[in-house]
Amino acid sequence: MARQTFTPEPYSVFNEFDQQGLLLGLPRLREERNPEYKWRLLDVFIHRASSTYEGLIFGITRELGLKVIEAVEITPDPFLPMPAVVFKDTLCTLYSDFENDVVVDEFDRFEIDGGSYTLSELVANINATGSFTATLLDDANGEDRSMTIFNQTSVEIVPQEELAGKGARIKLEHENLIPGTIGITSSNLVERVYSEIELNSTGRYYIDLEAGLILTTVAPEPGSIIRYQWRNDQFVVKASPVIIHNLQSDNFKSKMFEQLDSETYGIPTPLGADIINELLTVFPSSWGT
Amino acid sequence: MKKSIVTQELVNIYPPNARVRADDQSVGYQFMNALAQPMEYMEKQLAKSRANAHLVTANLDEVDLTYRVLLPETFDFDEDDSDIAGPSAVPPTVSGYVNGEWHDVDIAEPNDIQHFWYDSVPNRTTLAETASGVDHDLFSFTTDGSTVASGLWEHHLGAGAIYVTAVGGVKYLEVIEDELRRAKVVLWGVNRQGQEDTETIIFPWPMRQRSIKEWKKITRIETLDMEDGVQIFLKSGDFTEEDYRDFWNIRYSPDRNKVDDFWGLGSLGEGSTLERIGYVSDEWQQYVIGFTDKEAKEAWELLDEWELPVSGVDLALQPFSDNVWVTTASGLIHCYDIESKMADSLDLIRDRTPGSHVQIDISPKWLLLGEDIDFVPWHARPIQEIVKYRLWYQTPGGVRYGLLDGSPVGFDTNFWVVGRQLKRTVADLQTITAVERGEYLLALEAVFDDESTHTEKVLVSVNYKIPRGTIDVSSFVTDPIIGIDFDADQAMWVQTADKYYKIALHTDIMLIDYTNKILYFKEPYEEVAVETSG
Repeated sequence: MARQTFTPEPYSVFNEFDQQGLLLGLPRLREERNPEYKWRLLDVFIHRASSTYEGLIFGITRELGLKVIEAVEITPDPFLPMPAVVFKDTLCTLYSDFENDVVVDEFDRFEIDGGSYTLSELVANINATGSFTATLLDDANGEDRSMTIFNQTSVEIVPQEELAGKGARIKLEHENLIPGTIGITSSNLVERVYSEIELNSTGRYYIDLEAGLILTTVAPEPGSIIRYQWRNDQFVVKASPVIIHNLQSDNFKSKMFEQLDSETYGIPTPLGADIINELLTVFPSSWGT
Repeated sequence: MKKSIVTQELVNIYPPNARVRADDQSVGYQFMNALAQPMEYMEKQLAKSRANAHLVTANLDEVDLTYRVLLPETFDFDEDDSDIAGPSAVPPTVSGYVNGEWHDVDIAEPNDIQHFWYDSVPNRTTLAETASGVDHDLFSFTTDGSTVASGLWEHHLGAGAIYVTAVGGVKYLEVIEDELRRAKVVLWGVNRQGQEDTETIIFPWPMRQRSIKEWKKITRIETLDMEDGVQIFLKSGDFTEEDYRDFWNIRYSPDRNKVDDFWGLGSLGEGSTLERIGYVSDEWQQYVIGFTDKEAKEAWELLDEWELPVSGVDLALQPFSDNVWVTTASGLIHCYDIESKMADSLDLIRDRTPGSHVQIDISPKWLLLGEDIDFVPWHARPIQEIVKYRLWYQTPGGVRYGLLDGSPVGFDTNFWVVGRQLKRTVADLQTITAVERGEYLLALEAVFDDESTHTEKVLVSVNYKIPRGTIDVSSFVTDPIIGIDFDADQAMWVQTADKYYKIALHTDIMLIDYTNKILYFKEPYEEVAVETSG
């Protein structure tokens, strides 16, 4: 008997999923099975890739076979006047009064020794404020970097919501509307009043911001729309292993270059030099000209 | 030979009284059955292609990733030169090493992709995942007006299909003011992609339906145009139900109506039976007004590979296949085919008289071990009088008995009944108890006035099924199993009293490209050993 041993190699077979992948510009990854590939393909329709900040996060995450996860849930103390949470660049900012720019606390997520480098550290710091409660969700690993939380805010924008066909008492899709962000386009809702008592003539409307309710004397005409921002008090923060920095951001510039004063930057920091060198290896031309 | 589901649809082109349409042992039916085989294959392939055109419904078991070994140019397969047509390559003995163990690898038989990938049955398992502290039984309520229920019901596996069952009620379709009202259940919630979503499921009559969309959680359920008192059940798994709708569901009744097929478990002594279930009526108009009783259309005793009875607790139909998996409480899970069979012993009825004036009235032509074969011999075309007749039968073991006055007698005795038979019923109801599995042959021989003899023969099957394969999960599922299901990713799960176990199925099988000297495997072995005699 002759016995020989071999090491098998993966061999992919083109099937209907690959065909869908061709149509959607998303090829199968090496050794990727159908169920995982199917969900990446479906993700193309949900998390659209583009050249915007979010588009890049979603596109790169998907193409690398990684996942955008729900990482942390943050809820404010109900007694705060207008709480909000903003993740922007390297910072996580907690507001007690978003409208008047009153900040409870702000955490730097970039530096290892900044105290909020990991998700667990960030969650602990948020809970330590006493004004917000943060919970690490099932899909998240507390040891992952908190910078995996990409730019997002608990103040969300509704660019357009139809008002017509809902009668004269209109319940909006969201509650806790942000003052100063509301705009109504309508041929018969022309004057906003600030108490229900003033609803005494045609064309007037009153908005209950907390309840997300519009009261009018007449039903809005077809084509009437509202745009607004609202406060999500059950804020589920999403994260991606893909971290994108913006060199134009002041937060990040200070990580890349030594800061001489509030507006002037000097030579690259050790981290900045590393990143510049890496960029130079990708584009072997002169950088920054 | 397999009895194709499509054959009935095909023979329905003949008049209802034609034997080709009514008798599955007629030559015409056998002939049509041969034609129906590729038609059924084509119909299923078309259904699969239709499903594969959309990501949401596509078959996740399509061949995607194999592992291959490129044998060296110098490798020579053993040759079998016993065939006078020329020598042929002999598959080598192959074993695969994974997770510290060597596994013998079988060759696909026949050596093609269909049998390598699609028709092969897993032979071993590992535990992929365990879910505890969750329940697939999400919510139930009784309709009262246009019922709205709000809450938070999370899918027990994180995300997947939702099963909605409507029980009771008779007015699912109603015409009110010239408008057709259809009973609906509307689901709101968060779908598997994390988006807020909604899905409307229409109920033409009480039934269980699977959602098209996959859900993480349901936050609101509403019933519309549904009468009061209907019970609605919301579940995120399809475990321990009474019956399961056939995956392909392409059957037609002898009355040319499209009918629904279901599968369920019955009992026979200590063991279980697999039942093909259908509505009693084959007219959908009857279902709409509430006549939705079901009955077993055919049943098979379930046996294990040693032909011992299997006691199943639940079954699951494997999507895009003809496999049904029946689990026992002890952790043995058997894979059976869901095919009906043509009678095997058709040779035994070949000499029956074409257009015989006497017939054996028996329906259905199947039963289970221990049940009675009841039949009535009758004079179907009373053109001439019968002057004598005899009845006899042959057991599956090949032993023949005569029937005299309803009792079996030796076949070598004289059991002719002499005398003119003036009634259409030649003899009263005859009963034989089926004590062997297999096919019983019933025969009626009649001699007429003109001394001509007509012989009618019928085969009756004592049905049973032997598994195509069996897997054992008792090493990691130690509690009694109560249910089995395939999730939205077509992965197998078994349920115990307080946990759900995801079972990874492994198939040690290979496909050989003899020309290019390549071995293809389904499993990701770390190493493969190939043995030849050379």
